[in-house]
Amino acid sequence: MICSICKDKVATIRLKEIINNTVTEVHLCQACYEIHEQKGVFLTNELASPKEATDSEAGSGKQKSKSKAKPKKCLACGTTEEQFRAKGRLGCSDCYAVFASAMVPILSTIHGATEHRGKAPHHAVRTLDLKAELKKLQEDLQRAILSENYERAAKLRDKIRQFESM
Amino acid sequence: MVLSVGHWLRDKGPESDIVFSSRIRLARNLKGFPFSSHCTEQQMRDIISLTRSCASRSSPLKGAKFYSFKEMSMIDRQFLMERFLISRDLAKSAGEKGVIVDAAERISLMINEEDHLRMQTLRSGLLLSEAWEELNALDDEFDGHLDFAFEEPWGYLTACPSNAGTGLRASVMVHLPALIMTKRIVNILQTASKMHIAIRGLHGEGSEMLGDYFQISNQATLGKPEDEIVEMTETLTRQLIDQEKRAREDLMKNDRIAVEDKVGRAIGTLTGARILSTREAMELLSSIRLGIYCDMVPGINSEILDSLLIETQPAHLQKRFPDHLDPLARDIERAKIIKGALKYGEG
Repeated sequence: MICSICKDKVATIRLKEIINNTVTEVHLCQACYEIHEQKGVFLTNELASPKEATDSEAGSGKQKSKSKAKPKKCLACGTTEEQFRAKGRLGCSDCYAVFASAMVPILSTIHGATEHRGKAPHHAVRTLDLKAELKKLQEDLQRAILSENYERAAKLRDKIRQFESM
Repeated sequence: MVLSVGHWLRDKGPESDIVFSSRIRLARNLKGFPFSSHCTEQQMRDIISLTRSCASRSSPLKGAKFYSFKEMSMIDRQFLMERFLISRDLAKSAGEKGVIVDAAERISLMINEEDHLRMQTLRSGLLLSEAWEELNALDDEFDGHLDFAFEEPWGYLTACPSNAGTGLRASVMVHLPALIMTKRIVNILQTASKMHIAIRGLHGEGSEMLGDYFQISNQATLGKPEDEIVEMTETLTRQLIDQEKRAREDLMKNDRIAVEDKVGRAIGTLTGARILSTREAMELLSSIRLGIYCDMVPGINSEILDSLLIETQPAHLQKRFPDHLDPLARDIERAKIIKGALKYGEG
């Protein structure tokens, strides 16, 4: 899933916010999560208008590209995007999410692919199974809605909610 | 560790007259630690302890030994590299690093290389699938005790994106003298690069191509399941074997005199020379290996040659003698050993 704020990197964090008694769920990459946690800004404000939010952050109020050009740095190990590009090496696991936008074309050139297909360690297998199950439920829900089977759709919706809260 | 080559090389595997060895390597990192380049010494020590503790519980690694690089000399590290038990990169520097090697030298676990763990299995001849099965089981066993860094959609996370995904490198070391003599190797090298296959020297990335030996490996580690990568590398190796065999047949049919001349000159030099550099020895031994295949060298088998290939490398020669040998003294000893081995073979 792509980050709800930068619309660029892979989201690794799911966050729920309650504003005016409304629960909003957002999916964030590590970098956006840390920036917004430090700023203490409600994510939903930024989600409403990500472009303006990043522009005002850059202090220019001009173009989106200016804020995008801001050098990225992994807060976990201190590796900068410049270092990554110069050496071609990452400092830690978190770097993958932080430099995701730079990573995709690199992986594509080296491997001709950007997504892993193969074995997974035991701690990831359960997550992968749950994700596959969730995807299937979402597809079933779409089919139930299209066929106007609302009773089944409601059941599937409840099941999906149950899954998402796990 | 003994000076003679490991058991894995003595077990002659399929196609061993062309394929010297098959190797599967997996790159793994531990969750909760930065990659090796960003680890503190304490973190590196912790990674060594965790890996050693896992290895001590593993039945395939029963009797395996751990070699710490903390106070290991450069010669000893190079010795391990010449036996294909560690990478060139790991041999370059000392510190909180090390390697676990099983008794047959078929399995080695490099610790704190570019990635926390580089596990590999070696086999003589073309046995990539078997090497993968063995390493896959060992990886599962370690996965039961350690948490490996893994994230969707990247797969196993590695310090260099070129290893991400499966972290798997399947490589074979092949001897292709006829493809070089007939210059057909040029087209093969061009085709390989288009197919995401890397062709390198004997010791992998950055190593020199010597004695008509090449290391062939998959370049892409991401996007395909492990068994597909292994199968693809094996299929391509089989195609290369066929092409090398065809080139040998063509040479024997159309240019036998050139092959006989090459082999005869190699025997003449190796049995008469008093000073032999590593490069010259490897090139001449390569010609004799071709001569054995073409029934031109009675009394010498390829096992003797494959052992010589490793045992006459600089660090192996150095370890035979308690005193430091300068390069000239090494070249003289190399010439003596090869001469002795070939004479023994003839007799």
